[in-house]
Amino acid sequence: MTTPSIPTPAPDPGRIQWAAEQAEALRTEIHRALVGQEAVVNQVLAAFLAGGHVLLEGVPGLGKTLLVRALATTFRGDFARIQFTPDLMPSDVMGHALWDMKSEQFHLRRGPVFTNLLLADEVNRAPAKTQAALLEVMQEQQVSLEGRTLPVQAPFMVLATQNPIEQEGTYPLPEAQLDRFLLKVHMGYPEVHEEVALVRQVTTGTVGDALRVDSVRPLMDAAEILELQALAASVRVDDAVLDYAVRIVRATREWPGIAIGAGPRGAIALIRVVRAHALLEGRDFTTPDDVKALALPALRHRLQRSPETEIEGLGPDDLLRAVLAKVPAPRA
Amino acid sequence: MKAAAKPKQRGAGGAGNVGGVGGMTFVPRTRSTLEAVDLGLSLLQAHWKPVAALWALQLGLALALCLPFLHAKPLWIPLILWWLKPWLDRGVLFVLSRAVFGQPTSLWDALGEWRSIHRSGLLACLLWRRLTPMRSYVLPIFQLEGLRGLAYRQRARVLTRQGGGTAFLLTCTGWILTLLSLVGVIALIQAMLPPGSRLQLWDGFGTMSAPFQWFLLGVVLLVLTLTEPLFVAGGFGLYLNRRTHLEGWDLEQAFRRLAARLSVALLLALLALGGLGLRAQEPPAAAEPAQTESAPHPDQGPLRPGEEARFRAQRILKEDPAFKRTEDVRTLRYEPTGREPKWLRSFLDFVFGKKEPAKPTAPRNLDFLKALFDLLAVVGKVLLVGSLLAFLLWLVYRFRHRLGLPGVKAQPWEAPEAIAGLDIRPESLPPDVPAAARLLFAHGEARAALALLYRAALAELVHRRGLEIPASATEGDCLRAAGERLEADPAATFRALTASWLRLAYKDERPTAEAFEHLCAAWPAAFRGQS
Repeated sequence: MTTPSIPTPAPDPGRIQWAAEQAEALRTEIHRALVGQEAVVNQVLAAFLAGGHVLLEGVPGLGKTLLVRALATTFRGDFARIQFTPDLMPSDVMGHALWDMKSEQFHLRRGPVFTNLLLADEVNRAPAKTQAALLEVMQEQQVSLEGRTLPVQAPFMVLATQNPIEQEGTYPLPEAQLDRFLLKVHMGYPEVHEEVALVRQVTTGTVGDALRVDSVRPLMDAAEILELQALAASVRVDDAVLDYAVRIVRATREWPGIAIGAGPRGAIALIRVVRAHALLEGRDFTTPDDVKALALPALRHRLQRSPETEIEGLGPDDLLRAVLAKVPAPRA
Repeated sequence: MKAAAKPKQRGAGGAGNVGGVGGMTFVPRTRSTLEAVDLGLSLLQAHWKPVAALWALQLGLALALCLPFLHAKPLWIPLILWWLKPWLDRGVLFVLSRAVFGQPTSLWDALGEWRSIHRSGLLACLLWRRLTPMRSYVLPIFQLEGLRGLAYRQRARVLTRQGGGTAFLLTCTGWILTLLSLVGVIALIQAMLPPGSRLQLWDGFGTMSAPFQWFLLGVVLLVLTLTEPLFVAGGFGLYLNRRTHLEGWDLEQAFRRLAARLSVALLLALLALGGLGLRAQEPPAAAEPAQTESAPHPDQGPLRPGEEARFRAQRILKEDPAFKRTEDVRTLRYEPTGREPKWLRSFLDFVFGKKEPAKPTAPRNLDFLKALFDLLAVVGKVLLVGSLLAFLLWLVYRFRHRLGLPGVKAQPWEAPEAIAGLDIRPESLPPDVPAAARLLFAHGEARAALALLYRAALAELVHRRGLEIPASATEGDCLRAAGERLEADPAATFRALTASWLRLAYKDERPTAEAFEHLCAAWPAAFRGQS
């Protein structure tokens, strides 16, 4: 074993322990509101700790909003939701200056992006200009309004949802912008027992459609979340693990059936989220299993299938599974 | 009329002894319509002098007739001249039609032919056909072919079927060119006059002074002289091209070139063939006069081109001695005597193209052939069906794992030599794994010791327990696979071993001596079934 080439300060084992407990508590609290969807919760939490943004894909009504609100509640964070529509303007997202007749002054009205957790619902319904505005905030973590640069609150995470059905009249996100999402998480239908529990929980003692997150207790504050994120960034990544991730990403570029594979940003995203995943598992080091577990959500939106593959009906997940089955695991 | 009618004679007859298509000064070939217009313009360019002379003569004549009556109102003269353009055009066309056959035209020639030039359809052209949009294109039908009335209409319909659009465009272009030239010349001259000149009298159309009116007349004369011959020449070019197309002048000329190289007999045969071919192209309505012996001579009156061609061909066939000549042709022919050897006879038959008389054995030969082909058909069928079956079998074999056939394993499994980069071949392992590992650990090589324990465990799982672990399996995959196969105790040992190995491999954390000893102690029981 060679010494790791990335010198990372070894995190304090005590802090790791604390982080693992906090992560476990976060999961538990979220599951108080959201029944099932454990993989989705895990991946969203991993992306949150890695400081990335998530593209959620799933049919409506699976609890996407609930998940985000529950997560926001756990750390007393702000939550905002924007329903993207074809007439949504960038200023509706970022904010704008308003002339106040009384005070005869411009007042800056901050848009919904100034929050901790932003749920951009059906992001593919807004035109490219608005999408680009949002993606810029995601990248820069700041908004330029009337010549002033305003940073968004940390921690900041965007969860954009896409509806896989009803593609009529939508503006699908271009590949280059999809690349900015750390993970693309598929949200499927819950299992039978999960659905039974969910229906029972949602309908008991509830009037109307309101989402109930009052069962979720605040566990920590934003500063602690930031500390968790810092801890996640310091999780040790062995050379072999790094090499494994890069080999997987590189294999997507030469894989038959993939027209355009993932770029270097794919490997970067993979390693970022792998660190967070290891922290969620209560480890201060990463293993190839972490890479394998997160390769699908981290890479599935960074591939472009070849026309033959699309005709055959193979999805990006099928291709990635084939890649993972062929790329030898590390340990030389 | 003689000169003017020449294109008709040459083009339609094609078999004349004098001149004919061969005398043309242009290369007859099928051109595009715009190219044809260009041909007419080239013709004009080459013969502009006689055109100009005749034009001047006609224009002078017209002016001489108009001036005595209209000298007080000179602006009427351009209008009258404009109206008389079809008449003026005839002189231009006369010169050009002769130029096609290389005949120079002098004023005396024109005066000699004066009547024939202006005879056919002049009144119609000046009155009810004055505004026809394809004037220059149909003018040769009147003037050169001498057709009128119904015959003219039928002929015009045939001609304008192709090139009519271009002729219309040509007329439009002529109008625009005339108008622009008028405005341009007037503007140019006005602009160059010094201020206060007597001609500077433009006050608007209502109040034109007399000098300005004369000036205007001069300009109109100039512009007409410059533009009208171009218009006529363009239309004539279109006409020539259309007739080349319709009557195959280009083919005829090709035949003539051929004839110059070949023998007289061949020439005549080809000409006869040409005549027959032209006859075959004629409309059935024209067939009636051909049966009468007393065919009218073309010179006796205007004839339609097709009829004239037929008359000329008939006359040649009747009168030309070349068609009366008989010739004895002697060739060698082989007549079997019955005494020559068989091989010689068949050879001679081959040389002279003699066919054997049909023998009764022929059907037997055919039977043999039929049997042969039947056999070939059967062989082909067998091959086709066989290859299809083989292909199907190959497909089934190729995708046997996907078909889920009974008795076929889901995936062909070969134990890999290495998992996760670790060599797991049994021969690479020491006989007593825990002992070797302990030795390594004692020497401070904890990593090698734990790696040996771990890979030996994997090797046992793969080779003894038949666990299917691909080379791409990570430690977690191995653990999951082993968990399904192993009993509780060995599974727990493997879990502990894997955890230790992961911490060492990816965190560089050595296991404690106690933990390592514990693993070594549990190893034989867990993986070799030894206690």
